[in-house]
Amino acid sequence: MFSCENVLAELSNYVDDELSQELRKQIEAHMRHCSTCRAIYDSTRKTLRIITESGSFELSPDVSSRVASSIRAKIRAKQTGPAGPSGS
Amino acid sequence: MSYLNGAPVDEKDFPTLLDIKAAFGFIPNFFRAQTLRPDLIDAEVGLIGTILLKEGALTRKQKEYIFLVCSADNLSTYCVTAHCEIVRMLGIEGPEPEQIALDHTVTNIPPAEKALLDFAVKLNNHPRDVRREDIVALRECSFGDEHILETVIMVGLTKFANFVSFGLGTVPDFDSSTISGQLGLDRVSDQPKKELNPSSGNSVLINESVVSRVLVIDEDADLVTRTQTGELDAFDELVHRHQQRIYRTLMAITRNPDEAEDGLQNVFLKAFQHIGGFQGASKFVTWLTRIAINEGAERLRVRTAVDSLGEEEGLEDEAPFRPRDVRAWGGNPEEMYSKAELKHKVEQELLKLPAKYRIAVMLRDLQQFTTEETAEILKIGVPALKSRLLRGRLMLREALASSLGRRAANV
Repeated sequence: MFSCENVLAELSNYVDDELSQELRKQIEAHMRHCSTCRAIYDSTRKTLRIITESGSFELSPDVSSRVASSIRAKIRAKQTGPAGPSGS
Repeated sequence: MSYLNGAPVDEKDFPTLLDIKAAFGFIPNFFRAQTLRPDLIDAEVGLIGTILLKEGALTRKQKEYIFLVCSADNLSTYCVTAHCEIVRMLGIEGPEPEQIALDHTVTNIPPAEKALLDFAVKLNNHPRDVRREDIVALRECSFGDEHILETVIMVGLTKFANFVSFGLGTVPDFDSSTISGQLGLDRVSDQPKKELNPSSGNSVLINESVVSRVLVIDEDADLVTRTQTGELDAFDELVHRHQQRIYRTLMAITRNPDEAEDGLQNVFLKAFQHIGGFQGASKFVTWLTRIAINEGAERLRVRTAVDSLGEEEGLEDEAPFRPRDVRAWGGNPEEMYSKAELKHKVEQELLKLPAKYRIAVMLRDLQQFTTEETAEILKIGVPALKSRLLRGRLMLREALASSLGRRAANV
């Protein structure tokens, strides 16, 4: 029988759907009667969803276009010189 | 392992072979027998990627079954054994793959699936007998013309693989236990092997993302090639596509918006300088992100030597993280907090995580790199990455539980 420690050790793989069917079934069987593991699983899943959908550390459009223009200018300036994209 | 002596190759010189090895943990004889001409291997891998692996009207399962029934009828032991293992590796549910190969008509797959495989077998065995009625019959089983087209092409691909294998005399070399072992994929060690690895073999811990790395389908490939041939506009587009991602990578390392902004330009200028040497062994974005990791690390070294990236292996054996706040979150945080509040909270808590967990979580969960890509970017093994991810995610959950969870728990 799977213990809470076993479930916790595989939690990340379980959330990522990177487990074999056998292991999934064992974890699901455990969670059916363990409300603590169920709560941890549910809140971990919600945590990951919030991170993914948070749009955290967004680059502002101003910075984005300023940096893009600067890169454009610099690589074009280089192209007029002797070196372009090199094979190094 | 085959009739021809392949060239003595160093896989490092051939990106496709490296990818194949990364996917299976070894270079199957099918490809090893062709190393005299890596360009042919490239072309074949591209073909397999588009026809078999890329999502289409047919499911991967249907395509693998077509491959199995035709290979079996063509008596290609190599292809049957290889794809039986691949079906298991993918965790495809259903009858044993050997049973499908042996006689799909006696399995419990749905009648429409049987009709599709019957058609594939007919085309494979008696190509000149195929009539318009056969197509009509498939349409009556609710298959569209796209399904039918893909079926025909799959039969063609199978014949191709079977005949190449016959001609080169490739000796079967697929064995699930060898593959998972070589990939360093863990089975749970405190359980008896028998229970976890039943004869069905479904528990081999390899998922599709690992296998599909055989065929790195890089959506940037065209822009990269155009940049390499001197089209500067193509590089502008690459900057546009990946600026946000690179900024986030730099934030993950430096935790400083000014440093991240400064580093952004350097990363792209370095990428441009070296793009001529990029050969597609990994996806362009993986390569670019690796440049960003180095840029961020360099900035940190200049600024302070305190915050370690923890990239060294061997630091993964800390005691397991124990969640303390285990109350259920009664509702969805998205319904209780504004997007701005959530964003602020996530940013705040991410920045508090120790570097190695923060970087792993930000690459995997914020930027949505796959597990394998994240491990590749950080130059650590998949098991080490998974251990960081588990801890980082649990730490973050704990931090959010104290604020988000409390209100949610009281609903």
